[in-house]
Amino acid sequence: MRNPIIKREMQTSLRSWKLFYVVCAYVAFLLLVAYLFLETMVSQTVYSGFDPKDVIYLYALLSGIQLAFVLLAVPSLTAGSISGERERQTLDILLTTKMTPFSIVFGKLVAGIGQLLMMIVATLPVYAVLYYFGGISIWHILSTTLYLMVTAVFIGSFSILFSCIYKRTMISMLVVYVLFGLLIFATAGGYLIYLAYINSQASMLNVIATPNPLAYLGCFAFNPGAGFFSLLSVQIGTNPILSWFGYAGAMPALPLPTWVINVVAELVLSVGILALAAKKINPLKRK
Amino acid sequence: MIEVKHLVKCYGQFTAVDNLSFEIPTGCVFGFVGPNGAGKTTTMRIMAGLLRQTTGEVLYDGKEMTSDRKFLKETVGYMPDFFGVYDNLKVKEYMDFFAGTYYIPVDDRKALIDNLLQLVDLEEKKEAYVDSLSRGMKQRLCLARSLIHDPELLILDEPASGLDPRARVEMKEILKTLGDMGKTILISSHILPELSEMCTQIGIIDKGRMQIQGTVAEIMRQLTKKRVFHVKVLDETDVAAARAREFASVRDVVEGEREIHFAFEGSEEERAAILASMVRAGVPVIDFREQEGNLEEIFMTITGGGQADA
Repeated sequence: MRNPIIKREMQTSLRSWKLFYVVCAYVAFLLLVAYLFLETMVSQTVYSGFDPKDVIYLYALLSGIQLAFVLLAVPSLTAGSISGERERQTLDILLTTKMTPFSIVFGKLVAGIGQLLMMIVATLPVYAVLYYFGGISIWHILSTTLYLMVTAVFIGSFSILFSCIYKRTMISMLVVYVLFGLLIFATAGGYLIYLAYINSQASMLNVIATPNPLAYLGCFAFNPGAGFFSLLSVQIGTNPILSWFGYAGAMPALPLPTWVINVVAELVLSVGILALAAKKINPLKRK
Repeated sequence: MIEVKHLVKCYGQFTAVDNLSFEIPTGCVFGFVGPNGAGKTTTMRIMAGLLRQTTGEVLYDGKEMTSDRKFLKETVGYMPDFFGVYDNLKVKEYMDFFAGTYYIPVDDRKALIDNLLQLVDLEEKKEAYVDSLSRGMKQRLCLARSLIHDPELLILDEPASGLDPRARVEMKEILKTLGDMGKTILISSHILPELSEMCTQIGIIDKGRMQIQGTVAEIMRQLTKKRVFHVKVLDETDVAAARAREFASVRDVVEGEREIHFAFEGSEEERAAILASMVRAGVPVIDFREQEGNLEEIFMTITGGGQADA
């Protein structure tokens, strides 16, 4: 392993029981959700019959929980990465080594995401329950996992940037939660207001409103929730975004699905954010 | 040879390092002394590449090193005044991690780590967790860590701070060994008398400026303008004192019980002549030595009694 930070972080986190307990608790929680879902479905349909294709909603539910887990877990895994080094008084030593500031922040990101990947992979057997009923393929699961990891990289890079800016880990975490809360919900809210506005304009002219693609992209290109639902719609055949906004014209025609746009936009921005984080910790940076 | 030339570091209106210039010959153990806020740590951080100077330059064998990041990292080993360790990491893993940060090939690491741990007397703690080590051991481990890439210049900020007397002696021995290995060492400490035993040269800094630089003896001479000699004899104390008084360069001869001491302002030849004169007169001289310089006194004189600290 070329980046020593990744090796060291993995070594120390895997040596601790904490990660093992977290993985166990999380897998147990997902199993419980799957059990309760199936139990409820079977008990409610005991007279009217059980439709196996409804199990696809369990897949959507489990994937939704995974996304929520990523959103909550990534800041806690990465927001203390640089501030923690500073608190331990090891950052100066690291900066005098041959590692570049970028390789330090990159190593920290990969180490944090690596732990998350381990947790996500540990939950994959839970999806085996769905295979009993059919309706989803391994590619669905893999593409969702991939999307979750891209989301994790996106959140992680912001967490590391804030970890470079703020001296205290708690503040970095708080800022990331607030930022992503706004990024997911405020942009959706903003788009709803925009839709209401163009609809009112269109109704006065007695025409059908067509949203501007740039307004859509401005709101959702970096919204992990929008990308996730877009991916889910491709996989399970219904588009939750359209159902949110109530009518088919709510989405402009785009050459690529929202989740693909998300993946590209988030990865590009993540690289930029990491470069900024590296600049923040570079002791010889020019102002 | 390291040459610090007209180094200035300003934080807004505050000047932490004010036109500082000094030289450290190759292979020299240079003691950097000064009161709180004198600019020692700031200077060391600039030399280690952790701060950018406002103006001035740091030359290593004529090459400006602070602007050449790669050269700086290869040349300098830095040990800060405060340092932390990683939990859940063994001593050998800690060393291996830092060997990785210098991209030392994996195959070369085991022998290198063993040698360095042996140098700092920690080879028996190789399998111990770093957070279980005593402070003295952690300091030594941090020193071994700073040597992992075999730097030519070691910058050690307060390496003996917070150590008990035994750990200080151990650290001092290691630094002497490093000096013997030809490493150029810049070391700051508030344990001033220890620096006089350890360093080949010292520099006293105050208010961001170098006040005086040289060997302890040179500085003592400059400041006190006289040297004090102690002579121990088995007998004939009065004869020894009489012989000493015959020399014009000798003043203030004080006789004690089988010993005399006197102030001396002459050359090395005159010094030899005094001893020869006593021996010729049949005085059984068992010790004839110059009183060693006391950095504490020098420091108090130069800095006007400022608190000697980091």
